[in-house]
Amino acid sequence: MTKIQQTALPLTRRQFFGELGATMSAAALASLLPADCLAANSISRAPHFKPTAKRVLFLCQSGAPSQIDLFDPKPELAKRHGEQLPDDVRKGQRLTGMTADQESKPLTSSLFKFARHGQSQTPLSELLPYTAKIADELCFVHSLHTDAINHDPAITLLQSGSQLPGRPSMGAWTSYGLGSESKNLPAYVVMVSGGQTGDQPLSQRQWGSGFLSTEHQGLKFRGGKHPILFLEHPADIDRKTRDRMYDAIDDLNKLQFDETSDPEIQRRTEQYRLAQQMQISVPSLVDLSNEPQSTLDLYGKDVLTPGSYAANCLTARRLLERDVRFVQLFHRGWDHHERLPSRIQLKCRQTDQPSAALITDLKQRGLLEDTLVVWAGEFGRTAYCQGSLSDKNYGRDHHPRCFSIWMSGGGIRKGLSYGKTDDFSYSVTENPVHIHDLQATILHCLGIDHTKLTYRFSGRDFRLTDVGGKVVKDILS
Amino acid sequence: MRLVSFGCIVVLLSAVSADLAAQSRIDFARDIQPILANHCIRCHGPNEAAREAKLRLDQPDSLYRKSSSGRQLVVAGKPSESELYRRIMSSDDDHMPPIAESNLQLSAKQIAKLHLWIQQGAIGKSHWAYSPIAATQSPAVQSAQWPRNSIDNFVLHQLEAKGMSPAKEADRLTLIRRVTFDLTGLAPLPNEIEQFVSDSSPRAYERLVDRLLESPKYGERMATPWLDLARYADTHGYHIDSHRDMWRWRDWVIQALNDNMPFDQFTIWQLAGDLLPNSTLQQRIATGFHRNGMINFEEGAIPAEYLNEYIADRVTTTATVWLGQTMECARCHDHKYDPFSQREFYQFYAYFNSIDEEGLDGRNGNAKPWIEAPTPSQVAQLKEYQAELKRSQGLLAERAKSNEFQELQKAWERRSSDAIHLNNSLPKPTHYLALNESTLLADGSKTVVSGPTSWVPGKIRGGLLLGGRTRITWPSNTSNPSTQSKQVAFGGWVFATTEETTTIAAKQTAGDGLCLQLNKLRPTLTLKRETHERHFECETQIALRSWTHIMVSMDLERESLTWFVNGKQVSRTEFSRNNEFTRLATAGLNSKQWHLGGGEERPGFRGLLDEFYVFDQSLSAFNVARIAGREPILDLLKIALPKRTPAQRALLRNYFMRHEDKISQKLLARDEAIQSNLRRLQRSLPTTMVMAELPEPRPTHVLKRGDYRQRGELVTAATPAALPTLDNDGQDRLALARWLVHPDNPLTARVTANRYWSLFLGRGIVATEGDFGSRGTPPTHPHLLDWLANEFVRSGWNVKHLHRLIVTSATYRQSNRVSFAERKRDLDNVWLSRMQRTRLPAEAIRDNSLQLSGLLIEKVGGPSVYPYQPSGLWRELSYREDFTAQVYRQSKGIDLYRRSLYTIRKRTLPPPMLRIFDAPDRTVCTVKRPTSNTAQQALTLLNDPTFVEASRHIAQRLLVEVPENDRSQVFFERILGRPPRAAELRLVERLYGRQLTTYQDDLSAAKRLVSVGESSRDENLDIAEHASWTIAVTVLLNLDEAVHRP
Repeated sequence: MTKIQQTALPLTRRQFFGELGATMSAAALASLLPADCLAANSISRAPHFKPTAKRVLFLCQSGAPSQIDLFDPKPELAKRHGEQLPDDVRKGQRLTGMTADQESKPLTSSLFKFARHGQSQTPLSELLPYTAKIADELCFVHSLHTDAINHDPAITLLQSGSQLPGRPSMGAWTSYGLGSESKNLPAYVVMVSGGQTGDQPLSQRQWGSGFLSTEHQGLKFRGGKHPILFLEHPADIDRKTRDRMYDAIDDLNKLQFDETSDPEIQRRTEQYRLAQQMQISVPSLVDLSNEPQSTLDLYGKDVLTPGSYAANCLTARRLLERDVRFVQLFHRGWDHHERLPSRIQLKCRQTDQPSAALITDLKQRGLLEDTLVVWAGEFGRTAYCQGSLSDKNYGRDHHPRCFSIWMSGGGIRKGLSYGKTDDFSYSVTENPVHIHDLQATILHCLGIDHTKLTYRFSGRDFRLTDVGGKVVKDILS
Repeated sequence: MRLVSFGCIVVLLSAVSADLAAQSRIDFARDIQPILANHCIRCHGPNEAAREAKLRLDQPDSLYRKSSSGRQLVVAGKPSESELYRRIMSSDDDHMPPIAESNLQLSAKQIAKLHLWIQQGAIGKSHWAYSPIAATQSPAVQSAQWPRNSIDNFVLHQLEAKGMSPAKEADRLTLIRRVTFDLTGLAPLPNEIEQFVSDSSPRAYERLVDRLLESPKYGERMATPWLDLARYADTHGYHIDSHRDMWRWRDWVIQALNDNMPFDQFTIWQLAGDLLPNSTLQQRIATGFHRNGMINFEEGAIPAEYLNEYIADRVTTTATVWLGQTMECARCHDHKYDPFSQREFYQFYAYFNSIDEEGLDGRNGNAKPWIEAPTPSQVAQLKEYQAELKRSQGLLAERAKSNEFQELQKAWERRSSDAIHLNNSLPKPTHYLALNESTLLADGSKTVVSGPTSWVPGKIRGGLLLGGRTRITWPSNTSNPSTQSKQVAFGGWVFATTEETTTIAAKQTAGDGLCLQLNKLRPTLTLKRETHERHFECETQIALRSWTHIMVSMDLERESLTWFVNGKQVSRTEFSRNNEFTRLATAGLNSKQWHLGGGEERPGFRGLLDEFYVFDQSLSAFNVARIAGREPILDLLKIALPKRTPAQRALLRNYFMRHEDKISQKLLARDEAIQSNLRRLQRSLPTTMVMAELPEPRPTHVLKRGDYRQRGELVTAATPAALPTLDNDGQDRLALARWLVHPDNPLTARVTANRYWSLFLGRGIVATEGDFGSRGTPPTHPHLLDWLANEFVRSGWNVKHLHRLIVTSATYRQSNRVSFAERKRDLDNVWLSRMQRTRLPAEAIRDNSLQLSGLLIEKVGGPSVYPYQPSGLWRELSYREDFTAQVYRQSKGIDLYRRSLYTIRKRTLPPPMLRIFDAPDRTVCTVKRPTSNTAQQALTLLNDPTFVEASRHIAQRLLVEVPENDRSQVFFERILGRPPRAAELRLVERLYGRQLTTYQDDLSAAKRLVSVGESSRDENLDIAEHASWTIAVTVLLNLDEAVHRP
């Protein structure tokens, strides 16, 4: 539900509870005040304190990129390349069914060279030349860890705070807690790229609304001229006809409202006005051709290919400019169990330049200071090789115990490398950050106390961070 | 703030108190327990670790004890002497709840309630929902003429107590629209409206209700909320989310609802139909209820982890659907608010921990256990084929016994005994490699030889010596999969010189396909498709360095694999309904390249090969013997008649029938045709997943923190102690099901009746329909709820009876039109002084448009269908390759226009239109759908081709049926179910008029509009008029009124 809707509640409780509702999204308000006040939902209004970020951009790298080949250099692995993973490193912890029974688990050094970049002297793989140029803008967290060892539960945990389906996603929680800032777009927009046959599948529930109302579900923008489902009429009716239809719907609904006094009718009327605005504004929003060549060049050669990661990155900037509160990109294809060296190069070619361009572009426009950017996959990859190890080829299995992500922008310390892992990038040795901690931190930047953004469902006050989560204060600026 | 405004609170309190006191007595369970549960129990509850001051406020008894400081917590009648009250009112540091807990602070009204409760004597009772259902009498009311049945007495009693009065009865047009939508999910048809409006009988409405309850559409409509509860879908839900078949269960639900199966039976069959004595097919299909949960087969996932989830999901779902309890809260620790210990969660879990299922399954369709579940017409067809087969076999036996046949056979034996005289030639091979240097491939196909070739003496003339790197390759001559044979047989003479794994021959495309290998000298057929590989071994080994003839025959139609060694059949495997074999074998048959001496990514053959044959059909044992150089028939004929064994006689007789006797051949052809029909039918029978017990149940442990790895105490099945024990015989699911529907179970009837109430009134008597625990909202009409529950049980759990009672009540028949002031008095219509308009369910919105357009196909049941959906949606998220339900293949023809409950439900990407209108994704049990109101809904109704096509058909129907001058009026009436007011009529006419001008100037735009969708158009209609009315219809379908039931 958007601000527009809030102003369209003349006959609901809003009128009766006056200023209380004014600073909350209407949905949060409605949950706060069920008809029977005995079981009032214990939602505190959000924001709870002054936010450092107005918007979030989450660049989700689906399939789980290898931290060892991108962010977390391990000279020890080079020294012991080919030796078996020591038992005292693994400590008997569980592995996936794919390598649990693999007899040989040879340690595998990265084929890619690392060098230090920027004033922060951040080590980065040669696979990320563009990220290297903006390293000083980023905060790297090397000590993220998760509970799941497979894609479905891991990405579900990353998005919704639970390994099992049924909970709202992070963007939906944000929409619920803060409502929409945008006049003609919802609070939460999602884009997907990179899906080739055999890439890890995604599910709509990863941007779903769970037990929250459906309006908090992420609105998916697809590549091309018609990004939103049913935005265009299948017979492409002309603007005049379209406006006439909207006017007629409006007039007829008003007559019916006069008869019944049901506020639901007014709310629907507002939604039709919003739909009308979206039909006008969205096609130009996604039309990248009016961007200057310098900007297009910044994002790289894929930028005019609809549905590419580069195009989605540039579209994301345009959405953020229009005050969409939570923009999430999913890029598929990072699940490199085999042929990692060649496949990771492809993924980096697709994502390195556009990701870095986004940071540069946001910064140039003054948007980075109040936009929180997060680049993360659902887990990391193993120090040992899956399948057979050869000179130029190896694969890595899923690894939940440590992995690297980066964050940037609103409220995040620049040029920081946070958290340490052991010599094998197997376990966290310093400053562990759980997925719930990451989520608590993201909400914190938005001015939300993660323990107070709750929703009563099935007798329980649910929150994004379940029963955990602590804000990682060390990485806040 | 508390200190500053303390005086204000006291003033406020006394005002609230007085108001409350005037209203009614405080009820502990309704008023006090929720306050304790929400504000106190976090620190003073069952959780021992978190418990402060050794005080428990979840147990009513402890309220009457002394606190740790020695003061009496509650002194009946004396709030000021009660420590509980003192602490709540305290302005010192001992204030409760602690100041830091801002979420827990009590409101003035709550404090007032506690005050009043103590003043009234502090009477505590256990939570209302666990108390027996009270035998309530309908109360007397002042307006005694208003009630139509007992429901109304309860409702009116409350209204009168509040000084409110019910709304007047809705008009007939509203009534028929309301009740038809509610009972069938569709609007009434014009003739039905006509009939009802003109029916002057006082029982016209009741007659209408009876007709609707008997409509087959009733079951379709009522199924939808049940499918939401049962988390029914057509895909497995996790990860790759491939296809499953549960539509036979879905159809069973529709049928059971239409048959008005009593709810207790409906329950028992679904939870434990398989455990009923001599369970029927229908009873077993019904048990699919708890196989509807999500199933995982993500590569690398851990089976025990997911098995645990499946079972926990059954506990959650059962407790929600029947008991209205949030038992899942007790999965990791004791329930924080309700009386369920973690141990009890696992005792409940034990009922479901004995299913013969796998932790990871479903890769190839339905996961075990599943059964074949033929439809009634398939059962009839099966019987018919079986009878035909019996007749045919009788005729064959008769023929073999006849004198004529026996004479003919004798004559033939005499003729053939000394010479090759058999009326039979080998089937033509698709490839024959003689493997002589001069004639490599006898049929002239293009072969490519690579690697070293040494021609040496073979088994028959020359042969080829291979050292592991020699390959002969040639293309398969059946490249078109649609004309692809369903059979293949191949093999030849083999002289192996190593025991290591080698490959004799392969048929592959990009590594996928089939390979004939020797694995430690055991002939093995390896089938591979993508990442999936299986080995099918022959039962016998061959000798090293010795010529052996090997032949393998694979038959997809008979789902069999047969091995022949030295011309004799050594093993035959049947794969009945084995999806894995079918998928793999199909990959083999469809692959394109033949290799001899090796295969792609396979070790080459070492030794000698000779006389290699490939057939695109399966071979009889007799023919294989001949290929292997034997003449079994001639050998048999050499044995003197009296010396032949019965088996040898049968062999000869069968040979003679098949190859020599014309009459038998005709009979055999017919017999085979019948068998083939039967096989095809058997293979097409739908399957459905069911519950089936393991021989020995798995042991059930309490799992610490709900983690499958942390096993604690061993437990056995039992129902929670807080609920009555009701002669639970046995510890199986059947006992559980019977316990749930025992008349003395206080929850099942209340929970179910409450859901029905909500279905018709828009809101439950208990608003939290899935939570009847202490954190749920208390009933607004507790006596009515108990009356309904009692009536439900008393009537024999008669669902239609309960539905009839509700929809024929005066309460249900009220008008929805009220003044602003009346609405303001009770915004959410808690006290039912009017009818609430409710947004139509997603399914009804689409179905209604289809019905109006005349496109709706009224066919009940069947496999799910694929109506219009924007292209590429599944593809963007799916894994694709080699799995089902990865790419959306839109239906054609009638399946575009079926009711929406038959639309394919892919959990990771639910049908967009349905999801946009709040249909759940069916990943978990959903008790109540939210009702959202979004711009996406507007875009969908305006631009989804489904609705545009429906609009043009509605316009077309009406243009044909209605004279020009009446059109605006009739269009409006048809779509909204009431005549338009003058202003509305003017708006519609103005829109049409303007649009007509536009389209008369732009006929191509009009043409585009009236061509949307795959259905045809009446070409006699004026295009501009048709298009203009289409626009007007779309507008009417988009009105708020069109998506609400009045």
